[in-house]
Amino acid sequence: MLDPKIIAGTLERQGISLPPDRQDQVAAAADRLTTTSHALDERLSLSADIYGFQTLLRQWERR
Amino acid sequence: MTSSSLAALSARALAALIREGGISVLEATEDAIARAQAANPTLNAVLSWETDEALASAAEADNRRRSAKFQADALFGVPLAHKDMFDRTGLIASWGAKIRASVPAAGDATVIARLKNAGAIHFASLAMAEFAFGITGHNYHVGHCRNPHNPAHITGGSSSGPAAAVAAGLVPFALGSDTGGSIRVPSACCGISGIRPTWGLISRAGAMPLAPSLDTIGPLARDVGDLALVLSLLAGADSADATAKAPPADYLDALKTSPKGVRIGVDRALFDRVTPDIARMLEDALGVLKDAGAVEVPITIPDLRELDRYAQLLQFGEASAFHAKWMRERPQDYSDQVRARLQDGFAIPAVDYIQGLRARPLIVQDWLKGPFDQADVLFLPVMNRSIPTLNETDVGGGKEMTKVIGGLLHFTRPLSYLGLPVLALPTAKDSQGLPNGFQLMGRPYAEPTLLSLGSAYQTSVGVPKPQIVSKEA
Repeated sequence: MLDPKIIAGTLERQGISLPPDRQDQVAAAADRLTTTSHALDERLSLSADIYGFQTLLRQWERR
Repeated sequence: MTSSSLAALSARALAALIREGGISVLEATEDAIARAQAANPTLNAVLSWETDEALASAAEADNRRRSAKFQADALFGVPLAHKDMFDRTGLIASWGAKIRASVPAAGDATVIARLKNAGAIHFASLAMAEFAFGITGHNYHVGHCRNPHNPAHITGGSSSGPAAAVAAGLVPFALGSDTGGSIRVPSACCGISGIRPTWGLISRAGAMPLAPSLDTIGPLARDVGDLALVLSLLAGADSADATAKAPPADYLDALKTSPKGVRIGVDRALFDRVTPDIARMLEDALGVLKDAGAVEVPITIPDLRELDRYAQLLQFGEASAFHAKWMRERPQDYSDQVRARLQDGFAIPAVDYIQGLRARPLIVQDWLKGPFDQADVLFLPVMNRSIPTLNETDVGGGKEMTKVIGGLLHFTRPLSYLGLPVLALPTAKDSQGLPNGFQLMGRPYAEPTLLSLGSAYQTSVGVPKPQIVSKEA
């Protein structure tokens, strides 16, 4: 798991104080979501852009 | 007509009654206000009242009706109230929070303007979870909203006030918003219908954002026909919201279309993830749809947990960015729960967030080529269990509370990532006498298919009767 102290430091750098009793929980959430993101590496080609979602929905507009 | 008869009318029926002179706009408005004031001590569904303004607008509407040239719009004279997250000229919406905008809104949110143009009267603003960031309906700043079916149970959130007000017959429909389930869960908890439209179908200009990549605005109603009417009034392009570009359409036509032959995809493995009571109610609801002519086809639903994590990447990242200034300057003004959710977002690297956005069309294609290749519509639960009580989901509930709340989101938030339209419809009541619901999800812009199924379902099971709550309740 990510080091809770590093996570607390990351938040501190953004001006957000994280009480010690929440550090483990936030680190666990960050760890889970980063793992999820890394799992996408194999699928994401250079051409996958952030607007692809809207383009895809629009293709169905008049069907 | 008696007050309870008026409470049971759909918006379309009430508009017709007013149009035909069966009741004046002023009488309809006074009656709605009286019903809401009688129920509110029990429900806590109304956050602020605009009774003087509403009564003045109603009197003015009655005057206009006397003109020879007068033509009634679709919602002429219908008294309404909505989730307190929409801009209205000269006012500051509460957002269900302690922190608010510093200046009054310069104009109406597009959805509010479109309802006004259709003749609606606005008499109150309704309860919501703080910043729409909560699925239970708890609000530690303004008090928890209560379920009209049983005030000890949650209304669901974040559109808690709209769901409670509609279920109790205070208004025929109300606007809410849905980021991770905030229309669907309250609709199920309060035994009514609600639709999360295709992302981008309805403008969000002037509405409080939570996570814009997931945010949608939609109606909650007792009558599926009212959902169709509201979509007809609200859908369409808006220059104030670049994401809203869909062409306008008449969704009321869908109510006349038979769902015969519509293929409903069902993954029976999902029924193992709900309590036996809920599984039985889902089977019954599915049976009604099949009796109406829909055809069940077996499908496999992709991993919802994985999908939920993609949704979280977007929801937490965006929500925390929107709240960054206040989280730095006024963290004490958030409830503990909302502050904790926002803290999570600050720990998500920008790269991970952007990967979540980039992967979205690929994942949606997976669903379109997978389950939606075999079925036109997918059938899923809304929740995995009976509606919890306020106490079960309150602060101090510990690990059990986390589990219960996770169960409320398990079937709804993952679907939000896909941006596809989802209609929530009420099941029969469970063994505790509480309502619940199921979801029908369609392909992009398939709202007409969903409404056709919803209308057929409602024709068979009936429109839910309002749960009248009086001061003595």
